[in-house]
Amino acid sequence: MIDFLKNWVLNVVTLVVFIMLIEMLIPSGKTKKIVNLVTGFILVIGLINPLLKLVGSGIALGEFQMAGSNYIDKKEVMINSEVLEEKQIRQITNVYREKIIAQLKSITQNIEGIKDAKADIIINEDYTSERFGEVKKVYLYLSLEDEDEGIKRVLSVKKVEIDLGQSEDIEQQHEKQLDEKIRFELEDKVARLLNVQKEDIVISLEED
Amino acid sequence: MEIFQIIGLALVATIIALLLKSHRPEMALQISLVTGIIIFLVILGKITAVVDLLNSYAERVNIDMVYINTLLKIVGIAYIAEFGAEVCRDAGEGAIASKVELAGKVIIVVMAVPIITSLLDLIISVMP
Repeated sequence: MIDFLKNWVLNVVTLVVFIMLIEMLIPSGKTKKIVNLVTGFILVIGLINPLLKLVGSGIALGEFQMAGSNYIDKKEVMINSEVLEEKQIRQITNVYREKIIAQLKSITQNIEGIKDAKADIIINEDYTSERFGEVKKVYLYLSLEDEDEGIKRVLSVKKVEIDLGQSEDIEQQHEKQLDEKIRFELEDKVARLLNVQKEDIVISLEED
Repeated sequence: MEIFQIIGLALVATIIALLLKSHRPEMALQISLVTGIIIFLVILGKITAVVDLLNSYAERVNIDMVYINTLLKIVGIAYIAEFGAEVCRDAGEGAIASKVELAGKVIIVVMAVPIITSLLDLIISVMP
């Protein structure tokens, strides 16, 4: 009994000294009131709990505090995850998109006759749908290798066309420049890589 | 005597800040911010030593360390929140300063919630 009383008094005195020091240390702002409230609660618990432990119905404050803070943390993570999910999905989608574009560029540049390539894709970004992440459309912009790479090409003066009716012919001429073999090979490779229909692959030549 | 160093630093910084305030107010703010941080760092070492000593005493008398740890965390949060709020207020941003204070209060209350609930549990367990 004496031991218990000794411990109890020591506990209370140390706690009071501690709280006093803390009250001196805390800044005299708006948070002071809340700190005082909490220190008051701690003092009450420190006073009552040892007595109740003696009776046999005290609580282990450490465990209670841990359980309480875990519950708060869990709730916090759950609330944050709803917000984070969308952000994370958007980030993941961007990374996925960039990865596919890089893959498309590399396979296109590996094909003989193509000097440089740019790619763009449209993917299903609706994360609620089952087809999330599916590639909907592929756009490839190619620039072909010059046939005589070693010789510097002399730029030809373009003929100025005024008649609008002839512009279609010019576009058709550009279209014809892409070899059908290259187009077929490219479409086949992209369709296999991304599992898309060949109709969804749009290949166009880049203007110099 | 470190207090002389601190006062000297504070006075010099105040004079520079006052001189600069009319021409370059943003520089004056930066000077006050840096001075605040330097003073904070100087006293941090002393506070750490005192807290360590108190912790060792608390261990010796076999006190429940949960109380002490929570108290110290709360004091730390209060200090940082007040420091941030004062810096914002010095820069003339009273609205942001009050938001910083609010955030500090909320975080302290979140830390104190387990203590309050354990007190409630204690009271419930006392009831027959």
